[in-house]
Amino acid sequence: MLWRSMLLLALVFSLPLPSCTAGEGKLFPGAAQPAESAIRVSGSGTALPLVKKLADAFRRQHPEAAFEFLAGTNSGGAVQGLVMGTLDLAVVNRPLLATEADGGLVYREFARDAIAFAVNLPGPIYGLSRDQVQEVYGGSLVDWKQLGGESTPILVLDRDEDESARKLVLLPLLDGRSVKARTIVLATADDMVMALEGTPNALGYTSLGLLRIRKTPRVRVLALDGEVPGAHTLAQGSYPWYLTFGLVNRLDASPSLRSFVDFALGPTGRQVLEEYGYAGP
Amino acid sequence: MPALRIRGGSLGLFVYLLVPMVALASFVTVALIIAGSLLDDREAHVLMEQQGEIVLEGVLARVQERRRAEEVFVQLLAAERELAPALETADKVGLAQVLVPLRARLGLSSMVLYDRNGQEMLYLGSPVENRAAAPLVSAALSGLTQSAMSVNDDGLAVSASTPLKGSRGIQGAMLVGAILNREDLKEVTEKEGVELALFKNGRLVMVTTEQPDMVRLLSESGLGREGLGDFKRSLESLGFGAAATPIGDDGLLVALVSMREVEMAIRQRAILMTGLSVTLSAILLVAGFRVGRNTVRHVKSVAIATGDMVRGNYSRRVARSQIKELDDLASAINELAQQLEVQLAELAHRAFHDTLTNLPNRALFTDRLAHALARAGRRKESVAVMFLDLDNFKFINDSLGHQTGDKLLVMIAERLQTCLRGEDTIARLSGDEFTILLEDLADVGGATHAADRILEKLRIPFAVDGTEIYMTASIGIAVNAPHQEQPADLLRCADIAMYRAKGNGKAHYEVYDPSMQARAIERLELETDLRRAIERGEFKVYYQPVVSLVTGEISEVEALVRWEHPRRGLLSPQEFIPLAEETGLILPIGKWVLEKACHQARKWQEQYPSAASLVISANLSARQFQHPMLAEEIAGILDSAGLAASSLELEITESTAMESCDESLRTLRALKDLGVMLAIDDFGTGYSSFSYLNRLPIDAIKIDRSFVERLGGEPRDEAIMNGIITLAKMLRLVTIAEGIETDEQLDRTQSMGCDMGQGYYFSRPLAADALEALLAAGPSWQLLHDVIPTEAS
Repeated sequence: MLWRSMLLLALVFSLPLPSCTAGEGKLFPGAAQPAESAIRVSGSGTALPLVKKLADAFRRQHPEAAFEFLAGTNSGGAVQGLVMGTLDLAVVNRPLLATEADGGLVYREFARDAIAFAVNLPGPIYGLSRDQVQEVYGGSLVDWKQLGGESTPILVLDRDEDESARKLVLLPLLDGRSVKARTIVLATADDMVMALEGTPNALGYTSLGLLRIRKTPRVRVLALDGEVPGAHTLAQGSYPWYLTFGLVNRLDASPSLRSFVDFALGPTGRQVLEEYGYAGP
Repeated sequence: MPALRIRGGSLGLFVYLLVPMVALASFVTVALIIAGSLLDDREAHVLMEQQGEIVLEGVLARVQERRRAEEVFVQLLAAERELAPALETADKVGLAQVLVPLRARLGLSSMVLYDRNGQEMLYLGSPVENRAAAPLVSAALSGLTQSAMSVNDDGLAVSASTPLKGSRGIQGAMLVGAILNREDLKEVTEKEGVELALFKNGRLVMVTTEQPDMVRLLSESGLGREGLGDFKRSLESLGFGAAATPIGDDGLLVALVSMREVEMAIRQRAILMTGLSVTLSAILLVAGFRVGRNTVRHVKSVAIATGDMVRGNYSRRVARSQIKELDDLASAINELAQQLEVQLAELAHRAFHDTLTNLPNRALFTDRLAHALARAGRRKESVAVMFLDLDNFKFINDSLGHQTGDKLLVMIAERLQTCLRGEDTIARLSGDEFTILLEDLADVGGATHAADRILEKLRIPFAVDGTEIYMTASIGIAVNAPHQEQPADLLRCADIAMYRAKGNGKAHYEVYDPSMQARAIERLELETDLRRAIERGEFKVYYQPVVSLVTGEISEVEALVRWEHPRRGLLSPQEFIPLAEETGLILPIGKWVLEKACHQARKWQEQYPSAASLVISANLSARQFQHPMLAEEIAGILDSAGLAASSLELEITESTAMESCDESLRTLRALKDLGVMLAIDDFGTGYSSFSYLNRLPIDAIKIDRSFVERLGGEPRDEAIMNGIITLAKMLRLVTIAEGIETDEQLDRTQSMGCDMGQGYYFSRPLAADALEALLAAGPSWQLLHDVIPTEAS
């Protein structure tokens, strides 16, 4: 009798109250288990944020679709992952290499991303000429005073030698001249965006789309030779400095992946692209 | 409830007298609950405040954690070598070159550099408020590393500062700041079901809720350190309670707890309570006497247990009681003890575990090993230590980056754990070194069995960031000798055995035996001797003739290195080349041999007309072969010796040629472009892939002596050799048989159509002057002429 009543008491007092766990810290959170049929995506760090936006838009139409984004690789690594079967979709910022092209892979261009020169506010300029780009990176234009601002060194931001934005935009602009300025070299596209946003007196070049996606109120995008980079000038062809993004999948892609690729290339995908200053292929 | 006052009397007596009162009180409680529950409201408030405070504690704990992290960050940053000189010369670009990438990487919201006078030199990120920064900067300029938290317009700011030291003392200060913004705080609030608001000087800076009434109320409240009571009353109308904590000089963090959830729980409880209370009251009367007795016992046991806790036994718990009030007391004490225990355990855990893999670290491992050894000594059991080192792990870090390396280490640690029994200890000593302690072993078989299991499980590739990585490990196993009680000794033995495993080709295990120690010492001596031998010119080149099996003339001479060791006498290459290869000394030795041999060959070509087209062959070790400037170096040697490239034949082993095929192919092509001849040495001992051989730009294969040795035995062996020669001929490769020692072996190789032969049958390797005498004696091999007509006809 007594123990039974105590049991009742215990029941009463153990009624649920709002949870009170504060700052529980798991040392090793196990990797989140993705849904069974999640589309595994990885690739170029510059292009991936756009694909995330596209995936968000896609999921609004197809709530059952699941994506798993894997960071920390590049175009080449992702294509390799595709071949090995550890990925379903590779996002690349360059066409497939000859060695990659024969593996039963499908490559489709889906966006153009302007590479824009930009300054940290309140930099004194709204645009650069090609000559000025050459002077800044060539090391002869070193002080904002030379561009009409107050006298303080221009902090010139640059990317690693292998980066597509550098190889396909900066170097052609320099026309064979080498970079002689004391530049600050950033390792990833996101680092470049963060450096532009947070470094007073900085000047650099980066993906226009990524600047828009990351919301950078302290950055001003510059016109280049009078052309303002954007979806419109890209589509017209008057702003010729851009990277082309492509989606790569295996021939045996799942129906949901196929439908996502079609979506990305279709009208709704195009709307998402243009919202962030990208242009279609 | 009436308060109990006990003055100098026994609780027991009071309790016995109070039993009827308790029963009465319970009826009153029932009445109150049914009436509409004043008590519930109060209880709800208490609960709300408790929850608000718990959440605040959680947020503060996170901020404290961030502060500590920030202090570490700023100290690490200040240690960047280029900073102090750039600061001394006020080189803003130089400073930015170091700091801009670091700030972007670490995601710090601000980073400011000050010169010696506290003047701002460079700031990155959002501007830092002077009032918050000034005390930190002056602390840093006086040599301290400090951190602080404050409220600013973006959220909860955590800053830390540290001195920048140059060659002439403190050159300035660095301040870094991070902000817990709305998104960061929202993470907390979503988990806890509580909203947070931040005030600065009575002004609302940030709030996690979006409810407009709440936001208006908060922004109009002007809430400061005082006036919380009034504020709480006005919150009640919105169904919220509040708790607050000050931040910095002028900030306030407020947690807002919704009453609805708390109330719902209370209501539910009230309904059940009403139903049950009647029953309970009756039970109380019957059981009152026993309860009273239990109460006294319980209070006594609580007193004893608490005393025990105070003395440091934090794992002691107070017994739960069936009486709510006592139970509350007991659980409060228990909770306190539990917190202390958890905190202490966490501290202890951190001190003894590797932060990356969460495995025990060296300190804990050594401690466990010491205990295990002591235990084993008493019980006459065996203890084994495994020393596991990943093969070529540096390559992963170099090529895929440290982050990938770290992820891989975590995966490896997890996989290793699955290979072991629960009671085995696995630790990460450093870098890519793991140690494993196996206890209660019957014999060494248990350990080797475990090592086999580990090697097998490691064979499954690891998938890191979409890349499949194949890892192997070398394992050294040491089992304790009787009376061996020093953990360090056993670890060293396992380490030596591991090195042995590395030396013997990696990816397997070796069990320590005492001779290894001797060998390790011997090896060390040999290595020292080897370095000295180069300076002292203790190496000698010996030459062994390679004879044409068609003409019987010496067509080639193979240069072989010998070491005239001052104490051990003449050492053959097998005795020191592996060590030279491992230490990299092979490069100067190999180069010296090549130079010497090329000069010698040129001299003989000029001196003896019969040797005008003599070819000198020399071995290239794997390390030499991988040297990026190999072709240039060989061109230089040929040039200085005046030897035609076609008079030099370079021999590499199959495995060297097969390793990293594309790279090998490039090197071989570069050598071939020089015009030198290329031969595969010890052919048949490696992969023997003819399809691959076909792709290599080689001229000859030297068939391994083991094939020649077996001639005349099994017909199958002979068929293999015959096959090799036939295929080589189809690929237009010259065949050279190594190790010909008998008439019969010569006869067989000749009849198979082998082009050349080498071995003791013709001549052992000779010093330069002895070979010179041979060359002088005549071009044709007398012995051979004797053999060919009789045997081959």
